[in-house]
Amino acid sequence: MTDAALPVTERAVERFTEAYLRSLGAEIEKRGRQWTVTLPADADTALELDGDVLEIVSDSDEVDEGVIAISPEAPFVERMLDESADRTPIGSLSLTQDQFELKLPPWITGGTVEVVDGSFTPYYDRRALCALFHVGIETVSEYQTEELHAVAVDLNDHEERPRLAETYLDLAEDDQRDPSEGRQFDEQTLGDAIETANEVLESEIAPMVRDTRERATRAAEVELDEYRQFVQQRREEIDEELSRLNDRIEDETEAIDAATEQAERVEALRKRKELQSELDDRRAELDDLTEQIERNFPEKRREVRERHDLTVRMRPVSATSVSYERGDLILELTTGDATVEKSYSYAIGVGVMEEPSCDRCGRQLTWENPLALERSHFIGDACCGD
Amino acid sequence: MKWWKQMSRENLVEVEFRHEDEDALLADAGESSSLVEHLLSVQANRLQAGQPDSELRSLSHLDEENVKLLEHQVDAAHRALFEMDGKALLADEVGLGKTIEVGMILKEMHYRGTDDAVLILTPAQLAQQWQAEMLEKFGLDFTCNYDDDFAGFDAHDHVIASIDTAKSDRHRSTVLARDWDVLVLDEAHYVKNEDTDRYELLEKLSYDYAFFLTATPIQNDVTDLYNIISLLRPGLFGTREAFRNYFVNKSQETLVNRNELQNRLRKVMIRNRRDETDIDFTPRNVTTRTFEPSPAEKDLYQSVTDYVRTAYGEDQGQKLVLMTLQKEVVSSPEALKQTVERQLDVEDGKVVAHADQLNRILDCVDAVETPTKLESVQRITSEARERVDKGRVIVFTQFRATQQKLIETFADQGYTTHPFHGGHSSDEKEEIVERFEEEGGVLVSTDAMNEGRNLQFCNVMVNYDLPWNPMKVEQRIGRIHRIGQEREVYVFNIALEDTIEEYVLERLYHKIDLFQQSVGELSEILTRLEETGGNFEDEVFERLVSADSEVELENDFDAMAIDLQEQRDLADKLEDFNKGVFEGFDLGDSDD
Ligand SMILES: [Zn+2]
Repeated sequence: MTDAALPVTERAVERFTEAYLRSLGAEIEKRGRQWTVTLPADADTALELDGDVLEIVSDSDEVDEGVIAISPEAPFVERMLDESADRTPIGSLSLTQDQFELKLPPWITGGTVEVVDGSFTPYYDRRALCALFHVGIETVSEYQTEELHAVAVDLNDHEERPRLAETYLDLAEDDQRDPSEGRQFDEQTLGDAIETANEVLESEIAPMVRDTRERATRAAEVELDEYRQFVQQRREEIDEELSRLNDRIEDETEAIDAATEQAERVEALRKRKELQSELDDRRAELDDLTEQIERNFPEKRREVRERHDLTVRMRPVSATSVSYERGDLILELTTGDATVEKSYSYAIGVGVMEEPSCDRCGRQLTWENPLALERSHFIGDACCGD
Repeated sequence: MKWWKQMSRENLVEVEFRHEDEDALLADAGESSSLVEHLLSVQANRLQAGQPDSELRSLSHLDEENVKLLEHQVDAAHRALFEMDGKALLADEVGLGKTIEVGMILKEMHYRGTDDAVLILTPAQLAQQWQAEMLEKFGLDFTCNYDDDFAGFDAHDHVIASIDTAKSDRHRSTVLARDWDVLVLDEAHYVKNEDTDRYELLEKLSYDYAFFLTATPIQNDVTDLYNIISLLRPGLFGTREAFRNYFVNKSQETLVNRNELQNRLRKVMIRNRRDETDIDFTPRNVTTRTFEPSPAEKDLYQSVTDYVRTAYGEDQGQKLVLMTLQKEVVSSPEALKQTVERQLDVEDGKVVAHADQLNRILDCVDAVETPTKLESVQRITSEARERVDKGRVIVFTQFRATQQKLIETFADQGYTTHPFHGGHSSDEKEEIVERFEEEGGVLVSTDAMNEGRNLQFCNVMVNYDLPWNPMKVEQRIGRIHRIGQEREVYVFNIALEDTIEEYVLERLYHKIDLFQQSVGELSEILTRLEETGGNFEDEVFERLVSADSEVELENDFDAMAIDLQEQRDLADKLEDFNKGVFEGFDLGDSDD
């Protein structure tokens, strides 16, 4: 999984604008940072440009009236992006060895072993889905993240191909290279592939989801805790109120007994009745609170949960069928005195597919533990080198 | 059921996963589509998801106490980073703060994590100045090739080095073996010629981002521009022949097709002009007070000078010590005494050369009662006590012993005193400066102050003794005379008649108008001088010891002054020339 969002720089916007307008068949006449643009009458777009002047600026407020600003947040740029994003979400391309130089892994290049010669023999064509997914994490209250992820999965073995995703993103950015089309998806294949990609995506955003959930949980717990304290406090208050009410009822009872006049007695009786009803209310409230405590605040929990629950939305926005060659990379390696030939499983756009380890101790070879040669043994320079 | 879904069951907060809009995407499957359009859709989605990225995000992390940024500097940093894709020629006119622009750029790269390996190449005498400035103003810690713990170009990730060290046989291969993220090249015009060692080094260096600095990109003719810019952006100007054919009128060697040149330059070069920026310095008053030494001081000076000449004539290996003695004798008897005693104090049994002369120096030291300079400095501080806010004065000396004597004397006179030297930790230094600001009085500093504190709350300084290297003098003055200083600045130089200090002051510094030059202008003059000859301090010393008579000495210094003057004129001329070429070129702020 790879973060696929691009920083919206002036340069990126300028490049995109030119490429998109040209794809629509526009004529662009450049004079420094000002372009005069005309779109063909039958161009398939809602944009209308007929000798209009566009100007590359850093801030869209900078342009003169009548000139269309091209800047990171300019309305015209946003319209173009919206239109283009929806236009062709599905496509295909094919990676072949004549487009790519052989890419050696850091565990070879980082070490002392010199690659004298390398040749790649493709054995079969593989296909992968490279897809962009919007991932949004929402809570009703606070946290919101929107990200764009690139996922590549092989259609054959359903394995993830992270390095292929990177190659694919680089390729999309590189306007010098001219990749060729591959094989288009049919609906069934694409549906299955998206399902696999969903799995990969879910497991890979899991840490992020977990972090977000932990934060939300803490917030929810705090809220629940505050409520618990409030209930506790209220219970103590009610206890006090109850004892005060009891005292006052006792006082009124005494007043009733001691009353000499009827009116006085009636007044005390009425008062006692009022107090008694207030006492009953408080008792009911106390019972309710006690029950809540015993049942661990089910309603409040529901309320808090509703507020803090997370929704993770995943939406595929583009899908590319990427055909790539897979085969053997045969390397001639030397350390000066010895030359050895070694073959690795390799794929165009992915690189060496294996994760080899030290012949002697079995530690994996990495850029920190690069390959070293000892006679014909392939060892790690850090673990077993001298 | 996956673990994270399970866990959420038992938790207060539940997580719901929703897969949305898959059908909408699937509906498009099977249709044929253009790959170009599809890749544009991919890019459009990526840009929609991205943040506008044309802000200097690190700016808010800078301490305004340490660096005051000017609008044209922020603009330049911004354009170099975001509009020139991190490869730019920063060609502001002299004195507009190109170093600050680079500092901002590097700070931003640091903030964005694209500064794993950074190399700054400068002329030799500017390396440490860069190092101090990056640290002081931007909190960026670089290792300099003059540091004791410098262990090679592959041993540190952030290196400032003189370009000639980098290209030397010893270091060249390690410099070239590395993939640098960022390369900064100061005074880029010294790498002008396509067949020098320096140019070759630059051409072979591997880097992702590069920032070249020069106020005078053109040294001889417009092809210099071609050379510098081809290093930055190979191919921007096509081949050298094509460039010459198109932009240079061959018969008159003048510039043609200026508009096209400007258009191309604008992709890679930024040049701010002084009269278009709001840089504003308060006036600087420099007064030199020269006093007649007492007879005892004359004796002392003569005995030291005689000894230095004799000793140097016999053993040039002692140069550093002898130079120190020659500087100390005009600083204070205390400073001198320590060094002389150390010279005499060697292991038993060894014979000290010229012990008699050294002992005579000690006698002369004892004969000096109150040094003339010590009296005169007090006249300045007492005047300041009456007329300046909190009586704040900074007194600079090169020697710790002189510093101690000054502190004692001022304390006896009832001044609040603050000693400042290189031995303090950086926290202590900060504290001292704060206390000086609060309490006022006299701060006596050794040149350790160079590693950078801002003292613009003070506007009076005294050069109790003078470094022979004009850059060091300018650095001292720069502590108080900088952007943010709101008052006029007063600089007092104290010197004794007929001493080395007077020669250096009168004949050299005043000739090049040292006290009114900016660091940028000075470095230009000195770098030029170094290109043609040697180290400034060495030249001063050589002249002093080799002259056979007073007249010869004066003539020697006059000759050196003429050299300096020449370099200065050339530097001025070049600046004017570049001004002329770029006149009418809009390579500054994009909004003017
Ligand atoms: Zn091993």
